[in-house]
Amino acid sequence: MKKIVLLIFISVLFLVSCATNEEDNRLTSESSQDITKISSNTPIDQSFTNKVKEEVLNREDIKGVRGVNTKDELLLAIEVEEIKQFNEQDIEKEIKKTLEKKYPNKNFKISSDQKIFIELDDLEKKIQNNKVDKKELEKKYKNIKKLLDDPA
Amino acid sequence: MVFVWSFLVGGLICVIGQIMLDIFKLTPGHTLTTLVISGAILSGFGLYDKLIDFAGAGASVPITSFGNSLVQGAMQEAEKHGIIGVVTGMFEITSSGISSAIIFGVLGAILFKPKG
Amino acid sequence: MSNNKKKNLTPTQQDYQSFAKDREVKRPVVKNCIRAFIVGGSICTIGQAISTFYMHFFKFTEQNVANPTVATLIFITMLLTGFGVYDHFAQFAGAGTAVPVTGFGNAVISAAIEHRTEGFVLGVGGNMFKLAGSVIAFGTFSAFVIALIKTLLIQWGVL
Repeated sequence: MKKIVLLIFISVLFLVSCATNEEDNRLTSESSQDITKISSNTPIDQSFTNKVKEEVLNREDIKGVRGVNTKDELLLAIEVEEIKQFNEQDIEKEIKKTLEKKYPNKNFKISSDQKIFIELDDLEKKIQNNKVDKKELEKKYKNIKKLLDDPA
Repeated sequence: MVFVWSFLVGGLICVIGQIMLDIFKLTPGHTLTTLVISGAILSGFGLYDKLIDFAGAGASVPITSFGNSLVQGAMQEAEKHGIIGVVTGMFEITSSGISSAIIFGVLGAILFKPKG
Repeated sequence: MSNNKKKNLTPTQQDYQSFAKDREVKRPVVKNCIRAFIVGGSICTIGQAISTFYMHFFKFTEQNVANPTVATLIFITMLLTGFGVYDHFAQFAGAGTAVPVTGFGNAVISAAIEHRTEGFVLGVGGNMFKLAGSVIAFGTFSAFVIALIKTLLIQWGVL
């Protein structure tokens, strides 16, 4: 019995330490902003997204942001601070309202979902490395948006 | 970090179950039923979803999440189709837990031999 | 037990009640709670690892990743129950294995395996829901009541 308890304890410790590695990655969201500021060769100009990302990151409760925009629409994924994750859906709605008031002629879709964050992170890296053309970008964008509306 | 919270919240819900077994001397059937009903009540107040956002699997693995899924499914259908949705929509989200238990139950009965 | 309290007990019967209570096996509450906490927390953490795996490598969002996670956990439970290992955990951890969805799975699967000798239709099918039945029945009923109340309140404009 003692061996089994020890085994479980060690595996939990292992998993927790895995988690902290993931966190370090996310804390470099500041530098990811720098990466996506390249707007010269991207199929669709991402400077609007960069501006909005900076604004959203200014909020105290937001730990990380990823985003991609098409001509009139912006898809944003936010990562909320640990304890505040209890209210992450309310924070999501608040940010959407603020952004829609500030930029009334643009469409915003915000998500606090971790999957959307992962997908947008992926897409941002591809855009920055010029691995996608305009059509593919729009296709991937649509696929991520579909995930957002996927019923539970 | 979400791993730490899932451990703590999941452990806490299990401790509540253990207290029901040891101090209130309820049977396992009573305990689990009470927990499912509590999950449904918390879901009615909109709190269980927030707990899942916070603790991840720590809130969606315990049996209390059944109650939450049932209420969520019912509310979703009721928004679309009115009161009748409460009855028709209930098992839309929760199917995974119950279906898997039944499917793997029958599969287990086919594959494994009962032990004395 | 409660009926006995209401009836008037003769002194001998009252003596017996207190005698029986003294001899009852004392449960080590704190030790059980610590075990339940650790094992229950570990099961949920393993579930979180499975969820993270599904979110990274498949098309599941945070909202619906609970479905494959629960299915995977119950599959693992089937293997543990089939090989007779789950009972050892359950003995040790009490509510730590009964409260997570694995406990529900184990109740259904172990009943199914046990009653296989009585045939599939009557044995397996008839006995699978001994414990699970009340969970499903009262879970559904309470969800119905709660959703009904909430829907009516929304319709009448209170919420």
